[in-house]
Parts: sequence; structure tokens; C-alpha cells
Amino acid sequence: MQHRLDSFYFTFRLSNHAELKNTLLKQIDESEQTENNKPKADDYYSESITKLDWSWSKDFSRPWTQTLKPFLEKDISNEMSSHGYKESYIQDLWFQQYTTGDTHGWHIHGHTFTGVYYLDLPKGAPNTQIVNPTNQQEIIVPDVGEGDVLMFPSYVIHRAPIIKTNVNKTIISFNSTVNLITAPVLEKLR
Amino acid sequence: MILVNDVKYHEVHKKTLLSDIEEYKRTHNSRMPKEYMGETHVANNETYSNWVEVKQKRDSNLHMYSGHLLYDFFADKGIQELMGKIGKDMQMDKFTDFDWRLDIAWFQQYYTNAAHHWHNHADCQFTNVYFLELPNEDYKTEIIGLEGELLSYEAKEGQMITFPAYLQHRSKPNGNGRKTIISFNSSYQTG
Repeated sequence: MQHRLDSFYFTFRLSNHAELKNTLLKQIDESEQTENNKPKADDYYSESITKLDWSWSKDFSRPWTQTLKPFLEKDISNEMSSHGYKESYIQDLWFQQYTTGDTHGWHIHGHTFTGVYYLDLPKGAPNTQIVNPTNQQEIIVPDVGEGDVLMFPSYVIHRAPIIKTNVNKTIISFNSTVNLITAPVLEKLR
Repeated sequence: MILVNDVKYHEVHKKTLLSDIEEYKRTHNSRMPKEYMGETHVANNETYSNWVEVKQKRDSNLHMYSGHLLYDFFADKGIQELMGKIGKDMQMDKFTDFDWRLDIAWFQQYYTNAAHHWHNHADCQFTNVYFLELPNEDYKTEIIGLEGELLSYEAKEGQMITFPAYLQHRSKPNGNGRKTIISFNSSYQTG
């Protein structure tokens, strides 16, 4: 698992994906706080998302976030600790459900790290594409599968390509930040 | 990724900002806590609360009240153009328009042996350091990669470095000769 400046993204598996998947999908189905983001005539860039709850991304009382957040935080914390960070925080957490024809155009996020947890990624659903920040001519498709978490710096341009087959895709997206250096790294620097 | 850029009209900024900083030090208790070691002055706590207030107005990308010590510096056309150039260097305009945002800014002034321990900047995309006074380049900001390796770059007084905010960095114990930096957090947004 690398995370250097020339290998700017990293992936890990959500430890409890198998036991959480059905509960999370059910809670998302039953969620009352949802919206859609279908194209409008004056849209600046392509975006068509059947169901999402971005507008409530800072509300961690939503049932599905209460189910997922403790597990996701723990795994992110372990991952960030391996990169020398003592603390990590989730600042925004929301789902996006894509059906045939849906897409989320090229964009970046705020805060420090962008994360994507692939909750439901059936065969035929396209993976996230990201632009290499050190070589912008290169578009990378990280090798991720259902149950994986992909993270990269929030200034990295990325998109969810259009779904061309008859499948649905559900991802959990999050913004996060890191803080403070771990004792082993500090010791190494002395 | 450490970007190094010249700051236009550095000599003018240097004269103005150093004068303003002296006045600030005279009228505010800006000395940093003991853990920062040595004689160091900083203005971030004082400015932070004002930053929050102005941020809610969202009337510009500065998010800074007009009386802020550093307002004129950031409102300067040259700095605005430089932040735009950095965004283009990172090809933020590859697919859509982009804009930049100043999240928070402060000065730090280091006298002999003053230092700022290893840290990163949270909740933003980039850390920026403008070397307003850097009499000895050996004492420029040290930055490490994610495996603890010291990242190599060259910079001198009058230049600004920009690097990912998650990277740990420090100001090692300063030598003789005062060092003054303007530090700020920035983020880009597209679309």
C-alpha cells in the first residue's frame, strides 16, 4: 500500500462491509432526507444522480450514517495512522445512487481528502476516474471493487463516468482531514 | 509537489508588511506559546475569529475583514493573479472554470532559535508560505513526504511555496537573522 506524492491515491477494504451492506442499503432506501440531481437546461457540467443526500452531509444523525460512521472512522484512522497521522476526521458524509444513464462530471472537493466507499458496485458499473495531478494527461481508473474505500487529496480532479448498462451503483462519499504527527514518525525525525 | 513562485512586487510588500507587523506586535500580545521555542511572534489567533465572521458573508474569495493586517496583501492584484497561475499550473481549468479561496492567513516571525514544530494544516487543500524575510535559505520551511523523507526544493526570500496541506512541515530552530513568513491555507473549487 503506497501513498507517496507520485502515487497519490490509496485504497483499503472496509472491515465490516459484508455485514453492513444490506443494512446500509435498506436504511438508504428508507431515508427521508434525499434529493435528486438530474440535469437542468442551464447545467454548467454534466451531472445526473438519481438519489443522494448531499444537502444533509454534515448531519450525522441520519440512521445510515450512525450505522456506518464508527466503522468507517476506525478504518480511516488505522489507514491514516499508517501514513503518520495521529488524528483524522470525517467532515461530510453522503450517499449517491446512480442508475442507467447517470454520471457525475469532473470535479474536486473541499477539505483535505476525498473518499469513496463502494457500497454496491455490481459488474458493469464503472469505477471512479481520477486525473493524475502530476501528469494531467493521465487519467487513472483505480482498481477497486465493492467494499473498497478509495481516498485521494481533495484537489484531485475526478468523476463518476456514465452508467451505460442496466445496473445501479451506490457509493458513500466523504470529505476528511488529518492532523498531528504520530510518535513513530516524530521519533524517526529526531 | 512543492510549487515555488516569485511574489510580484516583493520589495514593496516587504516594506509595507514588516512595518504593519511591527505595529501589530506593539499593540497585540502576539508571542507564541512556549512549546514553539524561542522568541516567535504570530497573529493567527487574533485573526481567526474575524475570519469566521467574514466567511459567512461570502462576499469575496478572501473571507477576511478589510481591517485585517494582511488584507491589502491578499487583495493585491499580483497575489490574485499568482493564485490563479498556481491553479492553472495544477490544471484546475482542465475541464471547467475554477476559483480559489483563502481559508486563513497569518504571519510568523522567528528570531534566533525560534522554531515551529512538525505539523500539517487541517481542513484545506494547500499550505502556502511566502518568505517575506529569509536572510539564510538554510532556514526555509522543511517539508517531509509521507514516508518521512525530507523533500528537496529551492526557494529564497521573495518567493512563495505551495504544497499539499496534509504534508508535515516545520520551521527548524532559526539561525541568526530574523525570518518572517506569511502563511496561509488555500483551496480551489471547480465548476
